[in-house]
Formats: sequence, C-alpha cells, structure tokens
Amino acid sequence: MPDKVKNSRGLIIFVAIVLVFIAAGLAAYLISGDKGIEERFSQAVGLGGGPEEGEPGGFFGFNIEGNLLTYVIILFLLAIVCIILLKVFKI
Amino acid sequence: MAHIHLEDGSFTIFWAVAWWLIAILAIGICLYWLRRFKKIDNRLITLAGLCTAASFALFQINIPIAGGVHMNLTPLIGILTGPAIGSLIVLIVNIFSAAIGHGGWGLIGANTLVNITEVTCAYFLFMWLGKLRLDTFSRAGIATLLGLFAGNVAMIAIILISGVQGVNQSTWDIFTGLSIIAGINMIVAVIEAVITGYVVAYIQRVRPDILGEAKNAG
Repeated sequence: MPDKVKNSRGLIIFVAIVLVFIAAGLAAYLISGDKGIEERFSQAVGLGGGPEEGEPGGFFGFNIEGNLLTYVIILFLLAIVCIILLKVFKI
Repeated sequence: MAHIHLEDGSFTIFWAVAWWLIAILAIGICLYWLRRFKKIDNRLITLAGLCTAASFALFQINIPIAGGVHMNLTPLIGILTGPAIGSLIVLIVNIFSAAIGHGGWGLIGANTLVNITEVTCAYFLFMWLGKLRLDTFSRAGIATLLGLFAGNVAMIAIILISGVQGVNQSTWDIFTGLSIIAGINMIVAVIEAVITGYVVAYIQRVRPDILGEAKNAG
C-alpha cells in the first residue's frame, strides 16, 4: 500500500508539470502562430527571416532537416557500427 | 531538444570560439574523469553507440507540431549512459548534424553545451528522484521535463550573452522571442517525457542491469 501511494505521488507530480508545460506551450503557440523552427528562431532574435520555403510533401508533414543523402549515409554507417558493437560487446 | 537554430555568423567570432572552448573543456573533463575514475564496461560502449544512432536519426526529423519541432532524446541518453558519456554522445550528434546542414559548424560548441545541460540535469534528477522512491516512469518523465527546461534556459542564456550579429532588437525583445520558442519546446518536452518514461520503465522491467550501469557512470 505505501508503494502504491508513492507511485501515485510520482504520477501526480509528473502530470502537474505536464499541465504547466502544456499551458505554457499553448500560450506560446497562440502568440507566435504556425511557423517553421528556423523562421520562428530568426524572428525571435530579430533576423526577420521570411516564411520557410519548406519541402513540400514529406511523410505526413515529417521532413528531414539538411541533406537527405548525407543523412542516410551517416545513419547507415552508424547502424553498421552499432551492429558491430552488438556482435562484439553485446549489451 | 533545445537547439540554437541560427546560421554560422550569427554569433561574433569571439563568442563562437568561446563556446567551442568551453565545450571542449567540458568534454575534456568528461574524458579525464572516464579515464581516471571510471572503468568503462564494454556494454556501455554499445549502449552509447545505440544512443548516438537513435538521437541522430530522430533529431533530423522535423516533427509537424506548431509548425515544426525536433526531438533528440538527450534526457534518455543521460539516464542510460550518464553525464560523462552522454556529453560525448551529444557532441558527436551535433557534429553529424552540422555535417548534414542542420545547424552551423560555429554553433556546435554552444549547442553541445545546451545538450550537456539537458543530459546532466536529467541524469542527476533521475538519480535524486530515486531517493524519493517514486516509480520509474514518473522519475524518468519528471527528469526529462525538467532537464529539457534547463536546456532551454541554457539556450536562452547563451544567445543573450553572445548577442546576435546584425540585429537591432533590445535584449528584452530577444528574451521575449526566445521565451516563446522555449514555450513551444515545452510541448515537445511533454511528448519526449512520455517516450522516455515508457522506455526507461520498460528497460527497468526487462533489463534493470542497464540502468544500474548508469548509476556507476557518473
């Protein structure tokens, strides 16, 4: 029983912080509106960047930042390193 | 998750170099500590590799929330590998990110310091909350939320200290603008906290020894 009380205490603290963060996030969103992250950043510091050109499409709005080919190459190399590490050292 | 999305040249050369040097100093301290005081387990190296790959893969994805946000799992990295190895991981992820054009090379130092703040805060909060005997999901979730909040504070502080070249805004205006970005980031922090909470709780259930590694990782 005491463990259950402690478990719910942790969850209560977590949910309370979540609610504060969501309120802060919604307020920030209502103030700033729908913008890409670079545009939001540029305007925040006064660089006055216009709307991002953005890559049309993507996958349900999910896009890759930067060069897609380099991303795939680096990710592929990282995957190989991870496979080798898993084979040699295990986890 | 907090990341300075400015291009090279936004900071003066003095501040770009200064943040690089401070980041190198922090990484140097981590390396010294790892060599001198910590005997690295091979499994921790594997875990670090997996964390690097996962963080890099996720960080480059533009998530369509509030116009576009990113996640990079820094609190999870901190909880699983500890602040010393976690700091090395975020440096590598920032270098790879700059290599694909996500963030400037000159800002790697500053961004690494922001991410080190997240990794370190999340780790120590997770450990401290363990003393309060909270459940694993809540511990990891709270540590993630507060760690990411600390990262946003670090991001704002670094930009305010450095200033941005070519802008006429007052410090207060920049602070207000960056606070709004931090607010948007808090929405993502909630998502990241839930993910981290579930992942850590799952690992605690099936492989508690992995979390035991972090305890000794420092």
